[in-house]
Amino acid sequence: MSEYHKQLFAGFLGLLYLIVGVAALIALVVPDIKLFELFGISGDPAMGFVLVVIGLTLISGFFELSKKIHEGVAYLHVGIGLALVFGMIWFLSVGAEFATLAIFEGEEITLEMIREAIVPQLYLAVIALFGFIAWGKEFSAGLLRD
Amino acid sequence: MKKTISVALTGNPNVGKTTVFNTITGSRQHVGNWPGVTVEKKTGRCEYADTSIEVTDLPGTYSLTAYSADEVIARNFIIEDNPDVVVQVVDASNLERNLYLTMQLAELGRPVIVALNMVDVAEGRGDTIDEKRLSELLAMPVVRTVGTSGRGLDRLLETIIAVAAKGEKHTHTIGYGDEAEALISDLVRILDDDPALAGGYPLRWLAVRAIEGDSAVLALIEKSSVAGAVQARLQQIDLDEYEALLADKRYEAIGAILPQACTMCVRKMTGSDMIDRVVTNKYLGIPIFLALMWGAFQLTFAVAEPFMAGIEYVFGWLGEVVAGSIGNEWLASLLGDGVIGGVGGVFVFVPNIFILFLILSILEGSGYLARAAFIMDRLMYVIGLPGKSFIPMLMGFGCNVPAIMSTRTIEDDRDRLITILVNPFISCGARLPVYILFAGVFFGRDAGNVIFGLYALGIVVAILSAKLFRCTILPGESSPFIMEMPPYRIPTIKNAMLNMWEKGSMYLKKAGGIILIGSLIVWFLASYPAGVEYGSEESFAGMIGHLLEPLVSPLGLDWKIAVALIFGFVAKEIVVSSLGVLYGADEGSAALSDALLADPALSMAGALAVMVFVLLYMPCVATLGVIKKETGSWRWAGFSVLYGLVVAWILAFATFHLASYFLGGA
Repeated sequence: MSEYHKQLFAGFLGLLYLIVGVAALIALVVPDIKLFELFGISGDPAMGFVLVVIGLTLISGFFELSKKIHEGVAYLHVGIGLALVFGMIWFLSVGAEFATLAIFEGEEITLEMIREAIVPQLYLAVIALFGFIAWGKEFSAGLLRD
Repeated sequence: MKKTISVALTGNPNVGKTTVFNTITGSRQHVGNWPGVTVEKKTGRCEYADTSIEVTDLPGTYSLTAYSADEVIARNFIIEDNPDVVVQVVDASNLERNLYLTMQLAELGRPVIVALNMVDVAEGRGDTIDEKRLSELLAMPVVRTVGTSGRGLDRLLETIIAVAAKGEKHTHTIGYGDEAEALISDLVRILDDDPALAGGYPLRWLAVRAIEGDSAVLALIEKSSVAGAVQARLQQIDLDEYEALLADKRYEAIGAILPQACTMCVRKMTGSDMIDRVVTNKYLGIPIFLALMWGAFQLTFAVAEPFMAGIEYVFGWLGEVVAGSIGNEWLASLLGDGVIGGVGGVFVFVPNIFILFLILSILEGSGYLARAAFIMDRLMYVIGLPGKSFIPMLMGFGCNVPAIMSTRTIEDDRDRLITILVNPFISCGARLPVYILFAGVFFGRDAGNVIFGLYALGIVVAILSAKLFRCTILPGESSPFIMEMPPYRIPTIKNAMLNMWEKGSMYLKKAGGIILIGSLIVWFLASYPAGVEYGSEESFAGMIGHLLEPLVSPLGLDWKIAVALIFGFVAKEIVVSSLGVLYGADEGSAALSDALLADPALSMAGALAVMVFVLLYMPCVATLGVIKKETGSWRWAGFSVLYGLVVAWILAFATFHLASYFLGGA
């Protein structure tokens, strides 16, 4: 795929992360916004901060690629990497919480609980995963096993 | 009888010396993907082909000009301990820089072998190295190795044995040009008149080092009978000019050797360079670092949950068994309140500790932590410390003891002292159980954020304290920070697990040793004088607590917390085990959590104040010992305790009152 596709992807995903991150920070001050609830956005300063950082990283890639700076692709790669890492962190955290509830507290995992667990960190990471599938080999080619 | 050979393993920092050492000797010394992991020499032994080989792993050094404490250790060992063979581990992917040390080692006249390590990395990058040609040009054996996989290490051992058997000293040195060579010859002649110097040191090397203004060598000559003559000869020349000339000649020699032995590919931006463009970015670097640290603590807290619940379940069951099966009330209290309540209360946090160490190992092994030091350099420079000081701070997340020892890589004594004094503010793994307990009980889902905030507070207090020390008691300019960025690597599970176990097992040993003893002492204090109600205000613990209560009550804390804090001086985990004993939580940490929640004396604001106080109040006994050892003075160790207590009290006081205002003392 061409650098144009990378540029588009970085811009699109970066904007999504930035919007959702800022929304998570706004929700701190203005809770109970229906639209936010629909997308699983709650007032969380740390999560908002992380999402904004990922968004800014990807958008930096978009701008560099739009200026035909090939190295801008580094921002796309790192942005996708961060998105996947934080998606994984959330996935593991929720998995651990469900395991504790099911095994030690004898609670049943309901659909409602699963729905509540689907937060921006997770579903945005799924979009990032498409980027990883497309450019993953290029992403890890420069890294070495110790 | 078996022959014994002594081998010194030297080389630039972060070239894989310790990995080679571990593979050869079967040791488990810590391996990190950043420079300066080894700050002390470590010795191991291996048997090979009827020969016993004693290997000493030396701290990394870029040259034999010893600037920092660890470089002095490396140089002194090679020169004064006179090993049979010196093996220089060389990063094959960075030959040019590594060969500078080779040039200097050649001057020592010791038998030297070059282990061309990380050849896989070099080959992966497209470099082709002709080791036979390199060996001819350097006039020393060259062996290709890959420390991590063990490739080439048998050949290295065979070469060591062969070189030691020959016992030939290296005589091939580079020429520095007529003028410099004449000067060197003059100095060698003068130095030869002192039998102590002539018998103990390679004279050509001493002469070269004296010309280069090596302070340790000049001090050695100063004490000799030929000091006057040497000084007189050196005064005839421009030392700076000659020092530059000698370095130029070495690089000239390297420049001549390299093209004959190595086909370097055209350097293009590597994967590491690409990542560095982002993670060391002026604006994004620090936010990305903070985000990753938050992720690490979130993971530490959340993923450990089912494991903690499992341990709680086991200790709860043990508590019930003890309560139900032991008729003797005294023994049941000792086992239930003392052992299970104390040790069990701490043991439950083992999963968190292990997960945190696993994450830190992965970050370290990937090469990211070295970047963290780099991105913090600008901030560190503003406060007057080199970025190098941030590495011991990061190491302090594991344990402050090795972190303080790692300050030996800092050349300037004042920079080093400041880094040592602020290191106890960096939150070590031992403090984590206290945070998890209080944050988990009082802050629920926000516990991860609270814990992250505490770690960040520790760094902020350390940095501000460093600035304060720089402006007051330890003024000076910070030295420039030069650090080579290791390449990013995908850490192996084996290495990450090994590092995790190495650090985490210390915690397990503590739980079975000092924490158990501490818990039993607290149990005794809570049970006696005879006849008092267990853990009551009339017990010895109650009396001690009440004595200290006026000091902690402004922080929103009561006498039980005061007693726990006192015992936390021995080891920070004892704060939790002491609370377990004092609250009679003989059914594990769940019971302790319930007891804390039910205690009317404790609020969210009080819980925050406890955590802030534990983060900052004073180094544990082991850290205090290492501060004394590294600063060489009890005065600085005492200062560290006093300063920590004052800062902790002020910040805990502020935290309690601010939190009471905002949280309403809930």
